Amino acid sequence: MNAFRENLFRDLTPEIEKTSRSWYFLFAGFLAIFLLGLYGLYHQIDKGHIVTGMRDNVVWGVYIVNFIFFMGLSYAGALVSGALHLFKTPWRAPVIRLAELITVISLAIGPFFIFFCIGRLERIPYLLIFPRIQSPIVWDVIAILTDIFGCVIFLYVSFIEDFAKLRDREDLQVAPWKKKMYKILAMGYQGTEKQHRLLSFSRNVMAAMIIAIAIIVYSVLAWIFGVTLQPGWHSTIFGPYFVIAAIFSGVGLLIVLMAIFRKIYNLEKYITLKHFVNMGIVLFVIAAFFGYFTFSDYLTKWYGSVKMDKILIDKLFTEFRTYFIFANYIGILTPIIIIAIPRLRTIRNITIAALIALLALWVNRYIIIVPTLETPFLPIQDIRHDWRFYSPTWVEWSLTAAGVAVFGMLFMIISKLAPIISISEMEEAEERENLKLKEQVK
Amino acid sequence: MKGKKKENSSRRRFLRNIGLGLGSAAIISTPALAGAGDDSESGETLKLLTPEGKLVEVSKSVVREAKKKTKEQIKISYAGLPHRKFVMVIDLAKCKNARKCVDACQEGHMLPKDHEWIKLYLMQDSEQTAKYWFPKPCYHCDSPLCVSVCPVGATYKREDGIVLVDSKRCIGCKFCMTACPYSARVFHWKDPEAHVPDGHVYNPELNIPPVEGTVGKCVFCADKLRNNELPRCVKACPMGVIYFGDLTEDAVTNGVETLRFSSLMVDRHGYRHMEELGTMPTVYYLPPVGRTYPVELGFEDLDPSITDRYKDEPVTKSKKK
Amino acid sequence: MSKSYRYSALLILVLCWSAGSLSAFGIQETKISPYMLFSYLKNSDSQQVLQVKMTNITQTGEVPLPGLSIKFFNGENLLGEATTDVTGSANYTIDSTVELLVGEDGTWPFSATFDGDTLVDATYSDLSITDVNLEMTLSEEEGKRSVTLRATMPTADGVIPVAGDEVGVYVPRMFSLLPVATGVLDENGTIQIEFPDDIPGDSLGNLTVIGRFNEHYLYGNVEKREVRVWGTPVVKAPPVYRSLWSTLAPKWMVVTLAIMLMGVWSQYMLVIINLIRIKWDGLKKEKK
Repeated sequence: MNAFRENLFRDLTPEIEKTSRSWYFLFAGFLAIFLLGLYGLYHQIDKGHIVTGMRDNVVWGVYIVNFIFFMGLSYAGALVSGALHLFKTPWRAPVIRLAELITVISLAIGPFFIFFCIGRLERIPYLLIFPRIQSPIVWDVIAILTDIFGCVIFLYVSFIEDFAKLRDREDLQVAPWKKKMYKILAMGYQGTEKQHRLLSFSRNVMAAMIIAIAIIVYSVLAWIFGVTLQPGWHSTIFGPYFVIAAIFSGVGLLIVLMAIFRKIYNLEKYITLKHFVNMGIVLFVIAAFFGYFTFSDYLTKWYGSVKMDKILIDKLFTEFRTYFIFANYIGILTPIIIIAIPRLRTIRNITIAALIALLALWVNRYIIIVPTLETPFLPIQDIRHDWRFYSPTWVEWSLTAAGVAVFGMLFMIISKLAPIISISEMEEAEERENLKLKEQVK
Repeated sequence: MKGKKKENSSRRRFLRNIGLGLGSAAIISTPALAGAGDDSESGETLKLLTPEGKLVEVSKSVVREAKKKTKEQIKISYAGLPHRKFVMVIDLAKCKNARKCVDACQEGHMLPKDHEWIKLYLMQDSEQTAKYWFPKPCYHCDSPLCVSVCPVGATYKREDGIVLVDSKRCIGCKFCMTACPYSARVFHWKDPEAHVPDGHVYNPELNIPPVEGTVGKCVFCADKLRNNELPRCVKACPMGVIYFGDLTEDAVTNGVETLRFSSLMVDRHGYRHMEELGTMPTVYYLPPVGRTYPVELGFEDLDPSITDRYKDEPVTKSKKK
Repeated sequence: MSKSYRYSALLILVLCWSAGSLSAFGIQETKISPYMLFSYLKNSDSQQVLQVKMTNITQTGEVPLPGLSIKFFNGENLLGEATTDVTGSANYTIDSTVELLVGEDGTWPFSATFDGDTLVDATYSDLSITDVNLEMTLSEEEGKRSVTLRATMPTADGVIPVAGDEVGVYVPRMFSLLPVATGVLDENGTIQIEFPDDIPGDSLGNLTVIGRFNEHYLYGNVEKREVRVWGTPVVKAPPVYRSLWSTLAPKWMVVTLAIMLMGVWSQYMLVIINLIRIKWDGLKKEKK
């Protein structure tokens, strides 16, 4: 038991203790992308939104796609970590922390894309000063604020035990401020029975809350589109469809991150093929659901096609054909095929499938937003090409890249402050294993 | 004293000048000055031109005061005209794409040239049916989705049916633009560069100056209505296509003839565009039956930048190579 | 934004000064050719009003010309002056004591002139008006409402009826007069016009009924007005307080939101309290 703990610390804490040069290089790379994004933002504020590809018909572009995408990752992280925790999934220990981090970090990035999309940034506080309860955007603001609180509490609650462990470890080679930080954040957690009881109760409550909130909040986001009359958006299926899509992308990201951290931080011992296969099966199930929802949505629109639905679907199958095929065929079928055939279930294959799913989901959001806006009820009669067809500009791409870069940077920073794999969870899992073994011996 | 007078008169002359042809610049909104004339005897006065070219005399202190009155104005604009319910009737049989409505609207609201609060479409409902010109202002719906979805109450529906946008409140989220099924709203993607003089009091009823990063749309010329005047597009139309009136009075006029709204609807079989969407527009159309001008006339004497819009319209849409 | 606002104000000041000085040197003079609309109205009180509307007709429509001094003449005699208001209109009411000059054809020759100023060209318009009197009687029998109009003309041979001319019954609406019915006067100079019972009045049903020669080529505008409870009362629709588009949200929405938020935040509070208890417990143990 003690040896196990020693090993655990030896394997998981070096990343907190020292920072490699390649870490700095990577971080500088991300930082450069982030700065480029900042310049893009400055350019946009200086020149106005005319520098984006958005125009009067396609008023929402890549920014909103990114917003939905990042929020989706966040909710998926919440759902996955909440579910893993609540259902006491035995293999959850090495991956639950990653899922929790995805939740909080994506949540920190997502709303910024709304800010980029808003015409008058300085009036953002009006959302809180003059809110109208009827507006789905206000629902979303309330929901996101609630969600941020919930996710931060959830993450923190799950971190306390680890902080206490790091605090109690005398031979940890970290800067004094980090030690002090652990001491404060551990909140005097000593592992007494009462404390343990309170903490695990809190974690269960938060896990349950997080699942509920994630479903509600992502449905609310879907309703921003669903409540309008636009062809392709005005659909009752949108709430659940978005939730499923979110989990799909979130699980994909989780698998990709598992592969990355496993490689970089040498966690091969902890994150094994078993975890990839288990997450892969989750991905499989979600992909099947997602495919079913997508099919059902487009089938009904195509079969009894109302004029506008027909125009939209024609557009999807001509102009957006490549996107459509990638998002709704390749993106769904690849994970299903790879997981379904046991021979193909390697870590590399599963990671590739997850990555494809992740990218496909982004494209899926793109072809939900843009083609609909390009087909308003009254035809667009304009000679200006950019008024009729949306294409994102470098400003939008730079801010998108900046979003991804910030995601990477935050993950890198957090991996230097606390272990990326929950030490306490691992110990608990080990204890459970030992108990099981003992019972078997008896 | 004499010198001052001279300066004053030259200023006045200038103001009139610009209002009358050299592009409008010194503009104030009329309701902004309603009730502002109480202390105009206090000496120094300023002559200012309203957007319509009306010259009004106000004391300088009043102008200073006027700035503070912006808030008041916005409040007034919320109330709307009591006991009124405005309605517009567009006679498609008469429209020949003269585009005077567009010009008058843009000038009156200091809009950039690419901002059309009233748009002209060339429509064809299906391949075998006739083409017709289709002017489309904001419909000021009775169940306005744009108002429903606005997160900050920047767009609102008044008692008299008019839907306005307060560009001092609008955050530019563009949700209203996606919610509106009629593409009635336009966004200021860049600085509109409208030159508004000191003393101008912002009022959503006129919506000058246009503000970058906010949404604009047809306001039924609510500022004109306060003075019992017809909207600019109605007055500008040389064909008398657009009728406007108060539904409670059951009368609409295009400035030349005045008709009973109810009998017009019955006689000419009026309808609303895309009734099935349930937004309940307050703009009615008279079908393009017995056209007074051939549709092709709408292509005459127009810049190619306008006529090219209708090249591959309608029926077939979005034919990207 | 406020910056460009300030700049534009400055620009206007500069422009203002330059325009002023330029016109002082007489370099730049784009004179406006005004359009004068001259009309005559004999109103319900038998007052004779001369009306002028001065506009500048531009590409985008009519721009009223305010502040112009208009002179009104009867033949060669100056009747008086009036200045156009913000709508470009100037009205002059002829003093009833004035003996009006009659022309050779038995009509009143009226004219209006604008002498021109530095910006607006001079213009002139005239009218010949034959004096008529219009009488209107409103009657209601067995629920049937009718308007009887009688027009007469004072001549040297005494008062004779006006026959064969078109006359109408109107009601005032917000922007214009709505013609209810028109008809042609018979040989006695009278006409009876049925008045419909479905025209909206005010909230009490009050309606101003107008009998009128409308823009008649000889008589100008001659009218008689009378208020009767002949309209249908307009009942104002109750204002909508709670709907999707009103300021206040529907009740169910507020209640649902409140319940959900309370549910979630109470759980958060519970967890936060738990965290505090963990902290206390830790402190207690440390003290020991």
